[in-house]
Amino acid sequence: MKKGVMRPGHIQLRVLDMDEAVSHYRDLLGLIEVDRDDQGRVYLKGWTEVDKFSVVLREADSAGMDFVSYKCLNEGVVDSLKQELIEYGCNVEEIPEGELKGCGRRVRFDSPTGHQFEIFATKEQTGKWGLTQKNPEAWPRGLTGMKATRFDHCLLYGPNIAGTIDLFREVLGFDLAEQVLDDEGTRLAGFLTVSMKAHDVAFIEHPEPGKLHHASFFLETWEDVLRAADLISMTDTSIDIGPTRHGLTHGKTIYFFDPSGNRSEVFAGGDYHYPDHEPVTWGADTLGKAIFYHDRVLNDRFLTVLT
Amino acid sequence: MKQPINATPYPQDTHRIHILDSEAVFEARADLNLLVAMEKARAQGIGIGCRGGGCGKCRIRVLKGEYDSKRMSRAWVSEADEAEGIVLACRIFPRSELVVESEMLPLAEPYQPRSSSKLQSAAIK
Repeated sequence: MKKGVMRPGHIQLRVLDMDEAVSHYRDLLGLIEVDRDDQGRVYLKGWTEVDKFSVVLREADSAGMDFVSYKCLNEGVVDSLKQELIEYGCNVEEIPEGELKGCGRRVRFDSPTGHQFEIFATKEQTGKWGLTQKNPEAWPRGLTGMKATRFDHCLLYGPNIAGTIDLFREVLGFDLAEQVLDDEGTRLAGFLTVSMKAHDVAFIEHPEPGKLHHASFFLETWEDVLRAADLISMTDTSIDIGPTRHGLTHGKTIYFFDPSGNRSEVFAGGDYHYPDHEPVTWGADTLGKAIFYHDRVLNDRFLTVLT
Repeated sequence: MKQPINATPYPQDTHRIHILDSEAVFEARADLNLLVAMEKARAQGIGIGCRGGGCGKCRIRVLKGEYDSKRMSRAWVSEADEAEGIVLACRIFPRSELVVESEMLPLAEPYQPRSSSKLQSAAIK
């Protein structure tokens, strides 16, 4: 049941070298650099996104994800969900307005998988980059690299995904769109949506808490995915796998790494989900095909290389 | 692996690398990180992960030799580790002949990035 959470809002990633990271996210992925702050953090967005930013890079001595944040309809939703999160048993923290430039107050909470999440409702809206609000052209000129259109979702690894998935469904109103079940019916992976997208966030069961598998960015077409693959080769960027298709969500995809080892995905297409849809289920015995639909074999890196 | 042009002081130099575990021996260019040099030589013995100093999969101990290093994740290599020669192969650049061996990760869990996770076990079964 929808609870007033709309969509992924922003993700803050740790990087080992800011200049190299900016080169990856801005010049290769083609995100727009929109701001920097006095902590040295860099703010970026995909060109179709109306809010000011969706990706924040922070230089640190480890890679990985600091937090991912979801945008709600209004401040009233944030207030009521904050109360529900407290009652659910989360450790909840208010982050004041302006801690991220152009963003209102955020409510941060922890989770059984060891990840930090946030909800918020207010962020400066600068509109789609390079387009006017009235009579907009099809796309802006001056885009670079893969021309990624938006931050789409992230896949997170940690222990007790059952707990985090329950939190997202019961408190935040996400639906379970797709899942992987083992022979005993234990859920090993869950793909959750709060929209019509196949996933707004996904979880895979894993012993280490708080791990990031990848941050994903949306492209329009399969041709764009191939072009992204060309750019990965042209720039000698560390590749994981692809271009290929997932069985889960059926998205067309390529995985590669940022210069600090955080995995990036760009993808196109994929299934849609309405609230009355039963979850799509893959069996663990078909896992190779579920993850990589063409190879039908899971590579070791997909399950073990995390930040 | 992308390296800034200025970070290649000895591009013509190559150094012999010995990996004890796999008994692999290969020539590594001084301007490539050790992991990518191993991949280019089609040698094996060090785990291949992100190639960016983040995931810890190529954690090794350098037993002998000189190298320069770039920043690597403190999640996998502490300052004390680094002082002992424990590094991520994707973040070091050989400056002499090196002898290395792979080094298990310091995790409380029995799980190691190189070993099977629950999902993987299910898939294999």
